[in-house]
Amino acid sequence: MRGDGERRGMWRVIVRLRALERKNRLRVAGRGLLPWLLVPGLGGLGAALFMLGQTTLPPADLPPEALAEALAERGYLLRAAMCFLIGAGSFEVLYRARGATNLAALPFDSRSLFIDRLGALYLAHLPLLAALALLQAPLIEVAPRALAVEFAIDSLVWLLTPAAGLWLHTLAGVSLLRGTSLIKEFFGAGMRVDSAALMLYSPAAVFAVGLSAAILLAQAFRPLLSSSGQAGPALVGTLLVFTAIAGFVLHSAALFKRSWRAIRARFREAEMLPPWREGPLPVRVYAQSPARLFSPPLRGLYLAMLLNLRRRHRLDLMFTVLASGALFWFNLATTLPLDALLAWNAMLLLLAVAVVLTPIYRLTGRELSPPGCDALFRPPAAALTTARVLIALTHQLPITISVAAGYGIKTAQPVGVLLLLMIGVGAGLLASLLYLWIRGRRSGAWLPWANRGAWLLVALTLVLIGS
Amino acid sequence: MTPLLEVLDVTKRFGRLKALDGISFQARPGEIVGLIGPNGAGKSTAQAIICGELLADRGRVRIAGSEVSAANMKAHRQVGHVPQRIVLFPFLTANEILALAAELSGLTPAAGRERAAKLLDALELSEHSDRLAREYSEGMARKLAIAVALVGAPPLLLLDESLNGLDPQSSATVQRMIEDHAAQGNAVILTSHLLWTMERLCTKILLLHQGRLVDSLDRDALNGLRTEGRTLEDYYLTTLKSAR
Repeated sequence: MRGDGERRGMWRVIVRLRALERKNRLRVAGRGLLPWLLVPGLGGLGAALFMLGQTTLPPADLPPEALAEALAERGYLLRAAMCFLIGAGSFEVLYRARGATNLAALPFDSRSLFIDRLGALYLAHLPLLAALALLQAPLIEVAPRALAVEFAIDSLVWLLTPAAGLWLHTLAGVSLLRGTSLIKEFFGAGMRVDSAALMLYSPAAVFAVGLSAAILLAQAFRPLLSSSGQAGPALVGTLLVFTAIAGFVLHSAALFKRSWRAIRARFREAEMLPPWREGPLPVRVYAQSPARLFSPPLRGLYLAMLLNLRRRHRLDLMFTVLASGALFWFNLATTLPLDALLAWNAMLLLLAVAVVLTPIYRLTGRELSPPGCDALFRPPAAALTTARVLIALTHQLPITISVAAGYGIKTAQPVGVLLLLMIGVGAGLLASLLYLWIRGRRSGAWLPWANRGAWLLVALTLVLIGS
Repeated sequence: MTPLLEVLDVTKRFGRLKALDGISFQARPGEIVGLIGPNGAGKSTAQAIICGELLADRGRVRIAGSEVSAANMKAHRQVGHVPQRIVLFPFLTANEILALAAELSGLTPAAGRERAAKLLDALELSEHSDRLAREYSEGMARKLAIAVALVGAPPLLLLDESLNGLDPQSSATVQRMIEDHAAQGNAVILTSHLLWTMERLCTKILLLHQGRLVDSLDRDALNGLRTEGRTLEDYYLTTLKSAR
C-alpha cells in the first residue's frame, strides 16, 4: 500500500473484473434469442459492408492515374469517417463509459486506470478497423497492390487516432482544472461553457489530427503503388506514427498520474451543472412542433423525451446539421458518374443509420431513462416506442433530405430522389426498431405483436422498394 | 365495503428463491395498509406485482374488481406507484415532469397544471419547479416522485420506502397527504422500516417474512399493543424471533 492510499499494479485486477463482468453478461444474454442472432447478424453485416465496398469501387478500366486518384479519394473518405467516429467515441470511452465511471470511486492507482482506459479505447474502436477492412477488401479485384497499401494506411491511422484522442481529451480535462481564460471564453462564446470550452472541441481536434495523419500517410505511401516505388517515405511515415503514438501515450500517462482524479471530479461537476444552467433553460428545442399533431399520451411522451435528450446532448444536432450540409455539398461537387453517385448515396444513408441509433441509444440508456422510471410514470409501451422512434428519425431526416435534395439538383432524377428518401427513412426505422426490439427483449418490455408487425413491415417495405 | 385491492394467494419465484409464498390480503377504501418485514421479505415484490410490473407465478391481483395483467391498462391506471429507488427524467423540470404525468393520467393540460401546482405547493417544491430533476437532492426527488404518483389521484397508491430520506417537516407533510388521500376513499399500501411512523399512520399492518405473511394487525390490535405498553417495534422483534 502506498502513502497516497493508492495501490499500484492493480490493472490485473481490473482486467479480471472486466473478464468476469463480460462472462456474467454473456451468461445472462445467453438465455435469450440474441446469441443465436449474433453470428448470422455479424455475418450479414460483414457481407453488407463488403458489398458496399464493391459498389463504391471505381471502374477497373480507368487509366492508371485516374484509378489511383479515385482510390485515394475513396480511401480518404473512409478514413475521414473513421477518424470522426474515433474523435467522438474516444471522449465517451474516456469520460462517460460505464467502465470509466464505475471504477472511479474505487482505490485503483492512476496507472492501472490508465492502462484500463487505453485498452478500452482500442477495444471499442476495433470494429471500425474491421469494417474498414471489409469495405477495402473488394479492392483485390481492381488493384491488389493498392489494397495492401490502403490497409496499411488504415491500420496506422487506426493505431494513431485513439492515442491522439487519449492525449487530447486528457489535455482538455487538465484544462478543466485551470479554470477559465481569455481563449476559453473566446471558444465558449455563445455557449457559456468557459472552463469546459476545450472539452467541446477536443473530439474535433482528434478528428483533425487523425485526418492530417491520414493525408500525410497517403502521400508517404503513394510511391509504393508503382512497382519501382521507393519504400523510404512509407518507412519514415510509419516510424513517425509509432513515435507519435509513444509520445501521446507516455504524456497521457503522466497527465493521468498527476491529475486524473481531479479531472474526473471536475468533469463530474461540469456534467452535474450543465453549462446552460448559467443562462435560462431552453424550453423550445428542434423538432418540438410536430408534437402538436400527436394526441395524448404520445404528445406528452414525445415532448418529454425530446426535451430530455436535447438538453443533455446539444452537440448531436450540430452533427446532424454539419453532416447534412457536407452530404448536400458532396452531391453537388462530386465528379462521380450518376450510377455510382446513387450507390454512394445509398451507402451513405445506410451509414447514417448510426445517426438514428445514437439518439435511440441515449433515449433508452441509463442516464436519460434510468431503470425504474417506467415504474413511476407507467407509460404505454406503444406510445413510448413510437415517441423514441420518431425522435430518432428527427435526427436522421435532415440528412436523408439533404442527400436526396443534393442528388435531385445534380441529376434531376425524381425516381432516384424517391428511392433515396425511401432508403433513408426505411433504414432509419428498421435500425431503431431492431435496436428497441433487442433492448426490449432484455428488459421484457416491447410493443404488442400487432404494432410490432406493422412497424417492421413499413420499414422493410421502404428499404426493399428503395433497394 | 368492496375491497379496492384483492391479493389472492400470490406466489412469485426468482429462480430458486421464493420471493412470495401464497400471500393474500385486501385493502378497502380509506385504508392505509403497511407492509413491514426484514430486508428481502418480499415487500417490494408484492408492490411490483400489485402494480403489474412483475407477474405472479400463481394467484391473482384485482384492483377495483379489475384483474391486473400486463395488458390490462384499466387496472394499471388505478395505481400510482412510487418505487423504492427514485428515478426521474433527469433533464426535465418538475413542472415538465408533472405535465407528462398528468397527461399519462388522462388529465387535460389545464387540470394537470392546476393539480401539479397544488401538489408542488403542498410539498414545498414550488420554488424549485423550474429546476431540472437531476439538480434535486434525494429527498426532493422523492417528494417529486410522490407528486407524480398523486397527480392522477389514483384510487390505489403504492409507496415503497417513500418516507426515507425526507426531512422531518417534509415527512410530516407527506404523511398528511397520505392520510388525506386515504380519507378521500382511496387506499394506500406503504412499506417502510420506520416502525413508529407506520404504527401511527397505518390502519392495518402486515408482517412479511421470507415471502410469507406471518401476521397482520388491524387498528384495534394496534391500539391494543399501545394499551399493553408495547410498541410496534416490540411486536415486530418478538414475532420475527418466533417466526425464525
